[in-house]
Amino acid sequence: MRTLQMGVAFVAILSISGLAEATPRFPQVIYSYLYSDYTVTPYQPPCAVCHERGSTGSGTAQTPFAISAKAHGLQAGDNASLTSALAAMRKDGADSDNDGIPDVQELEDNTDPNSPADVSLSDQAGPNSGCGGGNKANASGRHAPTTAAGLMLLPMLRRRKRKPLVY
Amino acid sequence: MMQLSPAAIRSQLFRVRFLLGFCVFLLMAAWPSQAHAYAWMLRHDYNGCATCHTDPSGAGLLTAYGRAQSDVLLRTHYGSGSSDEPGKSAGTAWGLITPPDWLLLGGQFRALGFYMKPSGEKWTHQMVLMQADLAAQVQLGGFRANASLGAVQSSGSRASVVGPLVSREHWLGYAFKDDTFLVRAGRINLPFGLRMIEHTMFVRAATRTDLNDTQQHGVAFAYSGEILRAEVMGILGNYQNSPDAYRERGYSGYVELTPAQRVGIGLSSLVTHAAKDIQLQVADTRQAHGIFARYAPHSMVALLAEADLVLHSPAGLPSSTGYASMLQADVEPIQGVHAIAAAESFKQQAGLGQSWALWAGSAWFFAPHADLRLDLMRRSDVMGNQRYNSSAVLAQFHVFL
Repeated sequence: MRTLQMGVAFVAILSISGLAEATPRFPQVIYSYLYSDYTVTPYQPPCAVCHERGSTGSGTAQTPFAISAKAHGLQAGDNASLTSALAAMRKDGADSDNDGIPDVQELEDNTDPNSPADVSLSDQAGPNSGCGGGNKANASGRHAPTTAAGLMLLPMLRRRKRKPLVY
Repeated sequence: MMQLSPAAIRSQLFRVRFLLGFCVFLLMAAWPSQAHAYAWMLRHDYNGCATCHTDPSGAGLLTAYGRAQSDVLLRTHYGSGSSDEPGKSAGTAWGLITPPDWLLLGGQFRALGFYMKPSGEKWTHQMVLMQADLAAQVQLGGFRANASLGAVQSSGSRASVVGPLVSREHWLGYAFKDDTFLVRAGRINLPFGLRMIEHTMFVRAATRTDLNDTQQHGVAFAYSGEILRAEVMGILGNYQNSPDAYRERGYSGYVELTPAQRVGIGLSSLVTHAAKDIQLQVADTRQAHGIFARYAPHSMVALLAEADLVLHSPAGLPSSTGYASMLQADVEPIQGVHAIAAAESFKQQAGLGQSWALWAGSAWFFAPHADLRLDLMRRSDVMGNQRYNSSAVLAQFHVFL
């Protein structure tokens, strides 16, 4: 029985999401990087600049800009790596959407570095997900645990002393 | 009358809660996942997919026959050698659950350890819950009702029902002429190209026709014949995403001919239009047209190939024409043990460089309903005016019920 409990616990732990790949402070880091260096209208980029459809979580940082940033040393959860990645991308003139405007320049101009179209980054509405379309990706980058089973199982795995039944 | 002490009651409640949670977990893992598609089953003379899968184009919930064949043909048999008859463990949840004939049940759990190193940078790693789905199909005569429900690690999935809960597929359908024809309406895997579990390959990602979460709502009509199979779908959009501007509308379809045993040649076509493309953020008419082929010169070897033109016509921007291609070889020297090699390429548009990737991996269906997979990958991605090289290691554990 104990082996079964351990096995179930192992799988439940596997099935429960770990830290979100989205780092909640990354939009602020980008903001600080832009605003501290240049006179630009301050804004915080949305999660969608790195996360497809603004959907945060493991494996979702797959936009062209995110891929470029990761190739320049960006690591999840490491604010300093984002700052150095932005500096490296500026130096390289990385232009992920090939529209002739470097990515960091697009961030300064509040345009989307993932699209060659001249579209605002911060004014993008949606997409929203879920039935009724009411769910937007959590701007903090946090997300709910994955499985209901894991939630149910966690409190059950507290060690309890076995006491004899008393009739 | 016996009376239980408070401690005894707590102990009993603990056992009940544990068993209930374990049952929920079993149910969660019991539903076959969507990414259960092995085009190389051609090597076993299965030219079509409808015999084993409720989705006539492959992947997803297994039929009773498919479940039996997965035990007979997929996994390694030890000691006693292979058998033409499935073992008791072939049943749902290793035979622990016996649903009535009108009900198919399944579930899948797939976990990924992903290690990646961009050139000149450090190794990064992630643990990804790729799949934790339940699915079921009710079949009464020709009537079919099919649905899946699962969980992901992200919010905002294309398949989200609410938060991290997703429903990749749900449809109603009717099969006739001994399941030769199936018409369905609902959220359906897009019929296009080779149906494979490697959903990040260029041919799947560039055409947005993977098994992960690019399903769309629409109406589909499928034909599964001896030497010809086809499916065409009218795409109405993904109604689990909003606003409406982001919903793509159009069609997707394929036709595959099997002119000889273990040979399949197919054509695919897709055209959609969205008022606002998810990546371009402007109106876009997107097209993909291609050819695919499957060939098993020997039961140990299966070759898969696909090549697609990918076109975009975004509003206010120049049109682009690109292509994606892949070639994969799967060698199975011992039943259940696979050596896999693949090469793929992608060119987004003229004037840009070509991205490419090489895969070398192995898969082992080591036990009933369970397999392991390890892939080594070398990639070179063109992103705008830059080229990024990287290496990656993918380790997967998969269980289905």
